[in-house]
Amino acid sequence: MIRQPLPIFKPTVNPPKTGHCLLADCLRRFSIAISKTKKWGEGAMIRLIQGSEKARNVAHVDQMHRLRKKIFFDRMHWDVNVVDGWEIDGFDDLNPLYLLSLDENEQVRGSLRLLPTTGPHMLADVFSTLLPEGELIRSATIWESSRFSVDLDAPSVRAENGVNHVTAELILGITEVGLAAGLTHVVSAYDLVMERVLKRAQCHAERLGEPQQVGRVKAVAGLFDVSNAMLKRVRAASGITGSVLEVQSARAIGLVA
Amino acid sequence: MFDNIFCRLVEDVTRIERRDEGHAFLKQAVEEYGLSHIAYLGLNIPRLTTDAPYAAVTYSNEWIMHYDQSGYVDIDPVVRCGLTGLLPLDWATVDRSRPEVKRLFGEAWEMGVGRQGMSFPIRGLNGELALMSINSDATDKEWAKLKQFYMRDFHMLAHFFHNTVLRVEGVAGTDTQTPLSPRERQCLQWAAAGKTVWETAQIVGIGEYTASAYIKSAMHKLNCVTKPQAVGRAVSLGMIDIR
Repeated sequence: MIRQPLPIFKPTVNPPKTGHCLLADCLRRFSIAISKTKKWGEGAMIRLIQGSEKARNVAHVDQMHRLRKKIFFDRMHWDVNVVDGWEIDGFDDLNPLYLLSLDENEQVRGSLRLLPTTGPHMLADVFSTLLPEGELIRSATIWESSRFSVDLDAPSVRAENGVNHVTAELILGITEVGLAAGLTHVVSAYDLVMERVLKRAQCHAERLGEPQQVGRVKAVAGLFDVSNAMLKRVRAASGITGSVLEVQSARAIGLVA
Repeated sequence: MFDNIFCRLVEDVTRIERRDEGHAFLKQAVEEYGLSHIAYLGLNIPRLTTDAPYAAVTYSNEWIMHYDQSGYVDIDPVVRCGLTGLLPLDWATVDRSRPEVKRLFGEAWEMGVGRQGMSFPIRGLNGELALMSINSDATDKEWAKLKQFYMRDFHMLAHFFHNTVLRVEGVAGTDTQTPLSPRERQCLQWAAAGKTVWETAQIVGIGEYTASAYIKSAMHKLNCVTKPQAVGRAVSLGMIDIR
């Protein structure tokens, strides 16, 4: 199991004068250093933001759109819309359910958005070429995940199999939300790199169609089941135990009494 | 817990042809589920809600008029949930600190709406928005137990009733009349032949989750909640044959 290295103990600028005070001070600071060592998953959490909650989470929504711009526009050069430093599109106007992965300092390290397949969504309205001719999946129990983004520049924790903690958190977030909301499946369009990442995370997606060239990338439509089996697999693969949802978010979807 | 009721109501909802039948359906559901009220509110349906939201509710006329005259639709956090949320909303979690919201809920309680409430946002094909709410006089303890069953059933019933409204009011888009797609038909055909989802997936040459998803999609199109139901409806509509 990977552990974070202990922070290096540094003496203060004005160390205490007497011997026993110095020792006490050392012990105090050492114990603080120990308690700050991040246990796996500690401090990082998934926050759910629905349309009406955007106003109360302005800073986080801002960070999310900037992160998306950094990843999809700056890094991957996808054909996406950038306005005032934000990557944003028409589907954001439809009030998706956003999942934000926040680190221990409440900074956004990853995000994705969910839309029901009963309404407009990317596979129906933008990426229909990724589905077999004439096929489209719509159901109240099947939602679509899109704009799955993870800040790889941020200090990250990885499981032994190389899965990024934030990635695993987001997948587990979708599954927990899905189970609480009675979903059966999640669909998503992603590139082949993401497909490998999901495989490593034991996400077990099935391809809905053959990979197609979409702009600069080869993309594919994938389908996951929402189940306790998925939850167990991804938790085992990532080393995350227990819920990844922030308490308020869990309460909002009825998971906490 | 409500399995029989659920299946029967799902059958009934597709047979609704007129507005008064829709209203009777809601009253029937209220009685069968032991609720106090059910309300459907269409909020953003092209050609239907151009002037005002579309309401099919079991509330008393007194409450409806009072709600309307007080302009509550503009401040009701439940309505806001329907407009901007995806997840079901338990009314107990709504922030009632604003005085006007506190008054709204207080008056609703006085006018017999119900001690508990839950709302299910509906998103339709072309960006339509609607909301179905249920109310109950269950105690908090009873509600905590009943909630999961109501959630499971009304999540689906809400969408089916929505499709029924579109059909009855004549504003259904062409998509709601769309026949099954090739894969949907294939998977349902094999289900009709008694094959499991896994077997169907093997035969058709797709993944197991994929076969399951196509069947769910077919069920959604046919307004059904179980496979046998969907098979039955597809056969009666001539979409698949019984071999």
